[in-house]
Amino acid sequence: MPESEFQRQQPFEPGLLLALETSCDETSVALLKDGRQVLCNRVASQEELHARYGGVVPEIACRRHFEVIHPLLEEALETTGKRFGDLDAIAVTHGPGLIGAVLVGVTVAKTLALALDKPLLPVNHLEGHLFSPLLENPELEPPWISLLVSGGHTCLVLVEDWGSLKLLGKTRDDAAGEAFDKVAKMLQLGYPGGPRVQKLAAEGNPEAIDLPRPMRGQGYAFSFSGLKTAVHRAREQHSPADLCASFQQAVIDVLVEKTLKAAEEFGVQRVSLAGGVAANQPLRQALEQNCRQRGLSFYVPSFEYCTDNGAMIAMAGYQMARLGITATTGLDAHASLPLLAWRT
Amino acid sequence: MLVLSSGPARTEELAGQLAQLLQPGDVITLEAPLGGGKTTFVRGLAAGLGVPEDEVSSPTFVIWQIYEGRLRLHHLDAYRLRSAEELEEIGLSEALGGQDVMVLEWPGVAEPLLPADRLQVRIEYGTGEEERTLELEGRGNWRPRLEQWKP
Repeated sequence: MPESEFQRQQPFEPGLLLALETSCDETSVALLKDGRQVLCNRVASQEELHARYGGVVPEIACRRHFEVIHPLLEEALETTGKRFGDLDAIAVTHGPGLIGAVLVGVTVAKTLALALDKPLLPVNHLEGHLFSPLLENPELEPPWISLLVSGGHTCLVLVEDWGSLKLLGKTRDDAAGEAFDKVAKMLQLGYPGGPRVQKLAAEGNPEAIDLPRPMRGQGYAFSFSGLKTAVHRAREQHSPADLCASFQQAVIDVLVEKTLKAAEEFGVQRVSLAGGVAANQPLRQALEQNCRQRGLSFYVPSFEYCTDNGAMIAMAGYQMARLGITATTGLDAHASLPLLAWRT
Repeated sequence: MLVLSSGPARTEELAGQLAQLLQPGDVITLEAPLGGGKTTFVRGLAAGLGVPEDEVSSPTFVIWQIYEGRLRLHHLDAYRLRSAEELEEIGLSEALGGQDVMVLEWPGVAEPLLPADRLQVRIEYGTGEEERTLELEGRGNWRPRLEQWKP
């Protein structure tokens, strides 16, 4: 990470913040006022575009981001009655993600920042998810444990302080969302897999099949590849509903267990769930219930802020401004990007 | 050529060795049952090309991944693609025939677009839970190249 991408300046609190998110298959533009109020959060999903190919096609994603970002931007300003001149800062996802897709957002944001002479706030997509619970829970303060689960990521993070994040563990192979998608594929349920597995699981018995709970008792790393293989092996003897229910339960058990263990080990009273897989209802319920039993506060964003969105990028960008971290015109797009890249 | 693998670690190692044979423009087709170890194989291939290991994930969600190593490695999952036309739409032809290496999972529908020179890899479940057999077949210029490989 070239250091010239970031610079330090006097911490500030942008009154009106524009955020752009283009890391995967959603183009999103959001406006955040005073770090609290989401004035708008426009999301153009490309799901239908990619569904016919059975997964996200990077080349197609880039082209669509490019097509829709300008209309989306105009729409965001129009519906809120704001003008470019009203903006105090611009935040943008600069990774991790599909390189060409990220580049669309970064280029537009850099151009705007330069033309308007406003600070550019560099946001790590994962930090966007980490801070997404703040959108609806402004009282949330560090330290908290965040379980971040999506199609591309599965990790446990300790938010020690606003500028201090500790990656406790991540998946060694498939992300949780990816495992859902693969099981859906195996059972020919169609794309996207997550919601379809959840739907079918509701009709099945979560205890029908004794599936492994991978990496149980082995720190905070996750592994879902073996679980998928176990489902594959069991699929001859069991109904798709039972397979889905048992698989989903195995994933939930591992996620919940490790999250609670982290809260206990680090003596943290607050737990949050974020990312696209946070939309999985049984997972939300299981984690919430377990937190409640242990007297822990539980935070989960509403569905609109779980999937990729600009509002969470705005919120994470706001935190960058408060830390006095801005981007130089050298800001680049990155396919992979560690948490807190600006600190290294 | 048939190679027996005792488990994921060995599969990665074998793929890493194969990576040393790779030249610009190479195409590898990869077939295996679900959970058969395709991602493991590609992870080994990528590592052999010098790609940082934790960057490699299965392309199920994003069906086309690109990794930067000694050679640029494309990893495309054509499982849900239904025709060669769809592969054309997403730009397969542009990616083939250049300097990059292409690994194509579920290559069935891509058959008309594939070059005569290619390495075919088929992974099957073995007797033990972790065991796999790797069946390698060199087509065109890959035939003599594969003969020189000693796993």
